[in-house]
Amino acid sequence: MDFLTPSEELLARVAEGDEYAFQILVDRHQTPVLNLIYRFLGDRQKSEDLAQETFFQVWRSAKAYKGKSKFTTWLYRITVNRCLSEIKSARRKKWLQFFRDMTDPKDLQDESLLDAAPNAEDLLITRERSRQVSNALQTLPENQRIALILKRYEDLSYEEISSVLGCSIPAVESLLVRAKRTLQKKLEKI
Amino acid sequence: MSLTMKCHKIENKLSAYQDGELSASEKEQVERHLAGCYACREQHVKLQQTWQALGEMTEIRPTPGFYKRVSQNIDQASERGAWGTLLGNLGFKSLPSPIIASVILAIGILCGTFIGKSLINVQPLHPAAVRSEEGLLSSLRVFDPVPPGTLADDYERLLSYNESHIR
Repeated sequence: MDFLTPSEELLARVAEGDEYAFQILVDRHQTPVLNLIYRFLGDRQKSEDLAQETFFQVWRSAKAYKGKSKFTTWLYRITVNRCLSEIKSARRKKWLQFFRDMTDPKDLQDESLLDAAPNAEDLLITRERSRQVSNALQTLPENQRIALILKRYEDLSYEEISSVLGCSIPAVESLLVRAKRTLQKKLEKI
Repeated sequence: MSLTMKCHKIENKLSAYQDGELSASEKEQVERHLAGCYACREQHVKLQQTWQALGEMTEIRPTPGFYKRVSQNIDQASERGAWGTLLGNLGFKSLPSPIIASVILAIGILCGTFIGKSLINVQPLHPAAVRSEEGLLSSLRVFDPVPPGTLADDYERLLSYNESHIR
């Protein structure tokens, strides 16, 4: 077993309690899972917490994986379900102002951003653009947002997205058409 | 779809065209339409620009020790697993915390009332005694420095009893 072992095989070992296999699996998929959640919620700290909960769920549900879909599809389904329950929970706790304000620039102060922008002006422009995109994404209805994130950033096919969302391929197509139209209007000035 | 496919139908297909999800024939038809329709071509360019703009959202990286924290969560969950199972079996897991808190509070009040009554034996006022003058006067003794029937009264009686027996 090494870093080239397919994720499906690693998960089978995780189901038997193999912690090393689990560590490889987490290392391999932590960044896409974290970014999927971050793009969906727009909250850096909350995304990290949810990503950890997602992998905790992977550990607990490893035995339930039947191998009918790709590991990533199964993983994204868990991630998306976690995001949706978080949204529901946040709505219930709205009075606590659970989410940080998306206009808070702290959200966008991460290392990758600093690496990408060598000087202060570039950093500000990059941060502002990133904030605008994030804000535009947050305006989309949940299903449209998920479909778009899975397509744009994870490059999933319509069939894979339909499997993650549990809907038909034409429904995915429709979600993406509407999402892109909305974003086109929002991002025209970028 | 024919060559005369209307623009609004093409617009609906532009997203799937961009994502490479159209069949070969559909793709060819869209491309033919785009070649001859300025408005749809413009729409296609705008869509591509939007797609490109989405790339402006930066990617974040997990903080160091991500796996360690996941692993700790798993360890903690397995440690409290036995208690969690027990509480779940007793039905506590499904109950919301306000209900549990209310039940505990009610039990506390009942226990407090019972213990309080057993410690202090309160004599209810008899209506007939209150009506009579004597009863009225005796009822006013509650305003005495040491009202009868109280702990202080018992203490005083105990002291006087001890003094009389010592002498």
